[in-house]
Amino acid sequence: MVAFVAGKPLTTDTPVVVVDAGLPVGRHRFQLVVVNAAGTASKPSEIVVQVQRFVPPPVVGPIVTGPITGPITGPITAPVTGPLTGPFIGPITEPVTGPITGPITGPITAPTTGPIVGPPVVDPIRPPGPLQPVFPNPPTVLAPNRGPTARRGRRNP
Amino acid sequence: MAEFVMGTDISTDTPVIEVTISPNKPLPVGRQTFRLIVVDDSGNQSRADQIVVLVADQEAPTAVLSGPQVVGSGKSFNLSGEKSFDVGGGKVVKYIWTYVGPAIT
Repeated sequence: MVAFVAGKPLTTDTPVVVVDAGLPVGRHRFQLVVVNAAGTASKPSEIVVQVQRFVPPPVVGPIVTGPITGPITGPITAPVTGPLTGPFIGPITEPVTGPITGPITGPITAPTTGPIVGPPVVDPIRPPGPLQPVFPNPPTVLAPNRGPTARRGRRNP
Repeated sequence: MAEFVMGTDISTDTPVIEVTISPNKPLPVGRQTFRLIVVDDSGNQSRADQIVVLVADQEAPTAVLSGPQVVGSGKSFNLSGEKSFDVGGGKVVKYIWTYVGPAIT
């Protein structure tokens, strides 16, 4: 930490100094001269540092100049003010609370917890009619046994 | 090819310009700032962008002082001479800092 006095040079052998707080608001001029091992001094390099009460935060992140083509991994916290013209190819994770008026073209993978209040779903493959039982493993129907044991119990006259 | 005069604008309709250095009037050693403003076909002007070109001293080391452009009141800050160099192959061994005083603009 260095408390500079105007016009009084400070010499260090390290390339960084910390300027103590305390400069008044306004623009302040600093100079640096470096010296090499042969004792040759450079011309002075000069900068101006502006001390002000409010410092705006630096802009972080890249400046977006074109459409975003990759996946959006985080939530969008700022309101979208312009029209959305491109297709959205990512999944929609928000629950649907209103009626669905258009055709559903893809599979519904999440469970539906509420009642479906729309028109009845018609299965185009199965013809209308009474429901028939369906056995996943139908019982085996045995043919009549014509072997000798079949006549057991019958007596010859 | 363009010979720049400090503070005087040069307009072109091409995106590249060569800075012509006269042997009689070379750029001073140290930091030299160049600024660009572009104008679109509706006449809208961009904000200025700028770069700093370091002109090396051929006979002595070159001091390059870096620091923040703006600091908050009551905050300490760093000044750095890490980018200083010596094209003659020498090593910078000493840094002499001076607070010149308030800048008058």
